[in-house]
Amino acid sequence: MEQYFTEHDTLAKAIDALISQKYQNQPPANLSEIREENIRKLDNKISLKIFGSLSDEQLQKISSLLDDQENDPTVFQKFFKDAGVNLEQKTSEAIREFSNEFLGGENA
Amino acid sequence: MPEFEFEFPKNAESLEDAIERKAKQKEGEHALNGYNEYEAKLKRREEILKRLAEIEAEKAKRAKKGEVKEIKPEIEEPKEEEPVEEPTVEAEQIFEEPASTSVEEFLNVEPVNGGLVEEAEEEIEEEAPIENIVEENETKDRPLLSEVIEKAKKSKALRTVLVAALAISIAAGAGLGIGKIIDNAKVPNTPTAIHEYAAGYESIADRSTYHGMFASEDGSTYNAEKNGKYNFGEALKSDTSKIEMEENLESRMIQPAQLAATYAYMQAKTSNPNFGIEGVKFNNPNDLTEAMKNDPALHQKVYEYVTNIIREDVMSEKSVVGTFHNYYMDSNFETGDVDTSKVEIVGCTTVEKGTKVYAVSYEWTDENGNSHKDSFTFKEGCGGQPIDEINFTNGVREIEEEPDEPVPPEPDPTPEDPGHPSGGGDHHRGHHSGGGLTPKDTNLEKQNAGNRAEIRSVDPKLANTEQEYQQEVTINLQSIKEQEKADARAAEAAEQVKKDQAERETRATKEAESRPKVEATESANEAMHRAEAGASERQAEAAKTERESIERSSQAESAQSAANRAAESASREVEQNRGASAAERAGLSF
Repeated sequence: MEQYFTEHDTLAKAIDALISQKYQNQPPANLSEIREENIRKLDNKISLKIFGSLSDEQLQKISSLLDDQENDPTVFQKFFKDAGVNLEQKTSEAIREFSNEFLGGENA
Repeated sequence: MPEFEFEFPKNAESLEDAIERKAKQKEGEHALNGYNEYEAKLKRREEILKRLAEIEAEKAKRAKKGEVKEIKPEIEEPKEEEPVEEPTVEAEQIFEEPASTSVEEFLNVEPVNGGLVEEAEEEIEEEAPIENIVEENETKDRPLLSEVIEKAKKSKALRTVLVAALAISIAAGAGLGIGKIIDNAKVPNTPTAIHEYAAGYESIADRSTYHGMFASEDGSTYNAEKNGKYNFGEALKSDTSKIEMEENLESRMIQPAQLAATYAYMQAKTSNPNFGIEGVKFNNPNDLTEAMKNDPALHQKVYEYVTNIIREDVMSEKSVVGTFHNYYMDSNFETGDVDTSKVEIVGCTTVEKGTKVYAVSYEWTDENGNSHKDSFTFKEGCGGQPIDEINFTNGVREIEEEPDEPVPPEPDPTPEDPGHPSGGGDHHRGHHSGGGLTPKDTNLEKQNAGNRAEIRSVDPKLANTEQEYQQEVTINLQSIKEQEKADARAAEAAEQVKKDQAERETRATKEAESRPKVEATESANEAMHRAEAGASERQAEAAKTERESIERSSQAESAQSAANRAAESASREVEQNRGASAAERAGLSF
């Protein structure tokens, strides 16, 4: 089973909302395929949005934390805070961008 | 007879498409792995097509000469490095019809849209779905980025943090519904936050001028597309984004693990290095999760804190960041007159606190071009008048608690159902407790139960104080009842004494009249003594009863006084705690 960066169910909720907007009363035949595919894409987009905003030095640092199997979420929270990365903002941006792409620029 | 000229069919591509379609049906598997395989197949089909054309040409020649014979397709055997089925077999599989079928018959197939190139592209896309090219390049350019992402997927702790942030974003409707509104802010047909405000306002005042405000301006007004009227009630019904956000928020945030992660996330946004709630420290979200599982009051407390923050700071404010021109914002609430100065809302929050309180911050520019920021709140039932001041500190708003109506004491509270603290009202209906924050938790009993839970969560000592207080109140009420009964008995006894005395006097008078004067006098005196003695006994008894009553009354007063002192003490402590926590919340920290 594919592992997601964030959470499948949460992503699915977002994708379902977008699918319902895009297809409305005419769901495509391969709906489940489209759904899963876009869940994966959104997951990728979020992860790229978040980690892509880190410098190489910061990437090294978080890589070390992950190598050390740091299991305290607050450590990561502090890391992103110190790195000046607003997770909430980044995820929102990622979702919004994805939404625009998925809906064919409807949101742009 | 004109000379026959064979002309290769112009729609050969359609023929090829038909071949491929047939092949797909026959083979049962039309997916090819990658472009190379597709290219090989395409090449092979081109050969088949070419050979078919040759066959048809040969047929035509022979038909011309009257030598029509069945011609076997002479298609080359596939090469070893191309382990595909034999072309003859494939052709039969593809066409099903015998190879002698005429070109005309063969071409009489259902046209298939798209040429080879387009179909090839489609097939490649289907078989090898491409990622976002930019994203791929990004990871290729930064191999460490790709590596970190892969590692991150395996880190539960990191994912916990991200899930919390994502939950907030999703709950806020980021990019789903609200995003559209923000991006189209210049013509906000369905501004959710404005709906909230307007619906609230509508429910408050229900004044026709409200609609007029929107209709009175030029084409830039909201209702320009609504025939001069904007029915916010109807708009709200059709605007499900808010409802969905609420459902999403509640369903997700009620889960302890999710809640703890989100709470931790919120705390991490502050400079508070400690992770805890009002003095109780937790090492990590997992500890908080476990604690909440075992303590519903704590769970409720954190739930309300987190959902309030999300509702106030995320859902609402983010949903109106834009340039909403809002004429009614600058209207006179009393007269309904509209100032045509354009006002831009820069923040709008909605708070549920028993009744809904609408808080709006806005920005406007005066005639001299100076920018001003202001804010106000109002609540349902107040005619739209601002009811209190709000303070925005670090994006978190605190609202002055309004004095609550006193709750009448219940006549006979029991320890199991200790009733409501009388006289002080509900001191605990605050920013993140009871008080309508949870829709279901609206009745007073639940509210008080929540208050008691809050007291316990603040300080176990206060819980003891409250229990003692409840016991004292119970004792107090029982004493009062006993006192009332004693008073009634004393009054009854005194009345009886008076009656007895009057009867004796009457009897003595009658006896005196019926006897000789001396005897009568003696008898009268004796009777008088007896009457006096009897009266004294009863009076003494009444006096004793009265003394007891007074003593009980005194005890009751003492008990009541002690109870009041205990209640005041508890209330002060709760208020102090609340004050401290409110101050801390203002800084997003506990």
